[in-house]
Amino acid sequence: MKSLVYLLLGLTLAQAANAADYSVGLLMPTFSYLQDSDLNYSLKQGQSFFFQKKWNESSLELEYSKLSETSGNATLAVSNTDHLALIIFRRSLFLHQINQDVHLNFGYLLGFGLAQTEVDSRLSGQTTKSTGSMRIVSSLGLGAESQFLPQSAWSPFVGTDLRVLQDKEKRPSLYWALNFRFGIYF
Amino acid sequence: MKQVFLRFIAANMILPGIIACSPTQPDSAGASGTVRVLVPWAQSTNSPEWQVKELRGLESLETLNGEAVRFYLYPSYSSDKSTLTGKALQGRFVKSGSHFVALDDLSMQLSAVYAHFQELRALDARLGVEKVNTWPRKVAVLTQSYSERDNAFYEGKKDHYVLVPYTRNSLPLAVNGGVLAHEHFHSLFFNLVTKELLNMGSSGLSRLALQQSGHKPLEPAILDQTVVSKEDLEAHEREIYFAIALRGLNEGLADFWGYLYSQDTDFLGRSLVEHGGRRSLKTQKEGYVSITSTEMFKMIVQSHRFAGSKSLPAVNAEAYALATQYARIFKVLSEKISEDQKLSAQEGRLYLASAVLQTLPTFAARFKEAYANGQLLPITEIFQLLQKSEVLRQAERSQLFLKNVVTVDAPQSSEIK
Repeated sequence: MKSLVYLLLGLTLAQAANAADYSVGLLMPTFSYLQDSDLNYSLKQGQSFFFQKKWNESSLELEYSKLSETSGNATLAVSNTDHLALIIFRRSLFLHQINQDVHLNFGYLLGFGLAQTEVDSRLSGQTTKSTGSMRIVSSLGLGAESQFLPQSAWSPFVGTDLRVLQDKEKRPSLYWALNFRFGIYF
Repeated sequence: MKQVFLRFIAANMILPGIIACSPTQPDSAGASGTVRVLVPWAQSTNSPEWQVKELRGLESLETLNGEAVRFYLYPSYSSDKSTLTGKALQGRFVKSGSHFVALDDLSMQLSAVYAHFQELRALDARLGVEKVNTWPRKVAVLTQSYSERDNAFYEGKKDHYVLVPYTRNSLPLAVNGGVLAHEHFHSLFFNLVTKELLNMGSSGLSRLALQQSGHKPLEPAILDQTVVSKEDLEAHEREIYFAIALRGLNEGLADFWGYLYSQDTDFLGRSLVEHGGRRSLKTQKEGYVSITSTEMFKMIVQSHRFAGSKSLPAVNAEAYALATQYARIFKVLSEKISEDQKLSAQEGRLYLASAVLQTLPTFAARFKEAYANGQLLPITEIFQLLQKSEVLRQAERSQLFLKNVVTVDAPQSSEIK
C-alpha cells in the first residue's frame, strides 16, 4: 500500500516536471540473499520504488527498498527490516532492438546510499523494537530491461538486476540481491 | 564501447575509495571486549524477558567467541578424534543506541548462551569449583539435519556441550538458563566423579562411567551381555545397578543445579512441555518427598534380567525416575538448611550445592571401593555422606530430614546375595 502511494507521488512529480525521459516504477518483488549466522543463505524479501532520470544511455535514479526477514519460533523470534535508500547510476552497455515496439537493453549499475535496520525481537508475546544506526551501503550490479514502445508519449518496461551489495556495518562480506522491476517511461 | 568499458573500470576503482573515506560507523564485526547485547533472559519463575547483558572478554561479537565460550558450528572431531573442530559463527547484529541487537535467532540464542556461561562461571567461583573446568567452555552447535532433536548434551571425554536443533514452539533450550546449568553440572560431575571411575581401568566400570557424561541413553552393549552363570548374572546386574544409580544421581543433581541457577522448579517444562510434570522439582506436600529403597531398586534392576537391550527405554526411564527423586530431596534439603542457618531460600541452595561439591570426591571413592569389592552402594549413599559432613553437623532440621531419607534404606543390605 505504501509503495502504491509512493508510486502515485512519483507519477505526480514526473508529470509536474513536464517529464520527458523520466520514469517511475516499482521493484516488486525484490529478493536479497545473505549469509546468515549458521553460514546458510537466508532470504529477505520486500519491495521498492524508484524515480529515474534518463540521458541517452545513462540514467540516475533514486531508489528506496524495504526488505524483511523473520527467524525463530512462536515463543522467540526476530524480524528485521532493512530500509535502503540508494542513488544509482545506470548505464546501457548495448541495446538490442527486437522489433519496432520492443527494445532489449543490457547494462550495469553502481549504487551508493544509506541503510537503516529496524528489529522486532519477540519473546513470549513481548516485543522489543530497536532501530539500528544509519550506515553506508554500496552496490554493483548487472541488469537487463525490456522496453515496450506502443506509443511515443509513454512506454512501460520490465527488467531485472542482479546486484552485489556491501553493507559496511552489518556484514563485511558481500551479499547479493535479485530485483525484478517494472515501470513507465514518460 | 571501449569508452564505456573504461568508465566501468574507473567507477569500480572509485567506489571502494568512497567507502573507505566514509565516516566511521559502529561496526558489529569489529566489536570486541565488553559488549552490551540484548538477550532473551529466562532465569526465574517470571516470564522470560529481554535484558541488555554485558558480554565480557569477547574476541569478536561476530563469532561470539571469548573468555566464557567458544562455539563450533558444524562440529566434527580431528582425525585422531581428540580435538573438537568446527566453523565459527557469523553473528549478525546492529547497534541500537548503546547496545547491539541480534538480527537472527541463532545470533540471539548464542548471545544468551554466552551470557549464561558467564553467570555459570561466576556461580562456579562462588562455590569454589571455578578451576574444575577449563575456560572458555566449548559448545558444539548443530543447526541442521541431525537425528537428534530438542535436546542438549555434555560430552565428558571431549569436554564440550552439544546443542542440537530445537523444533518446538516453546522456549528454545539454548536460551533456557536452567537447561544450560543442568548440562554444566554434568561437566562438574564428570571431573569430580566420573573421571575417577574412568581412571580405575576396569573395562566394565569405564563403560558404565561413560554413560554418565551426558543425556546420552545407556548403550545397549551394557544390557546385551550374555548371561550364563550365577556369577555372570550378578556381575551383569551390578553393572546395571551402578549404571542407573550413578546416572540417576548425576541427572538428579543436574536438575537441582538447573533449579539453583534458574530458581524455577519447572525450568525444563518451559522448553519440553512433556517433562513439565514428571521432572518438575515441585513436591506435592510441603517438605514431603520419597525415594526408592536400595532393596526395591535392586528388584527393579533384577526385573530387567532377561530383557537385554529390549528393556533399554525402561532402564533409562528408571534412571530419570530416580533422578527426579534425588532432585526433589535436594530441593527440600536446601529449604531445611535455609531454616537451620537462617538463610534466604537461594542462599540455602548455594549452601547445599557447596556441601554436595565437597562430598562428591568422597562419593566417587566409596563408589570405586564398593565396585571393586563386588558390593552395591545404597541408593541413599550421598545423603548418608551429607549427614556426616561437617557443614551440616549442627543443622538440626536438615539432620532430621536426612535421617528420615536414609531410614528408607534400613536395614541396609549392600551385598548381592
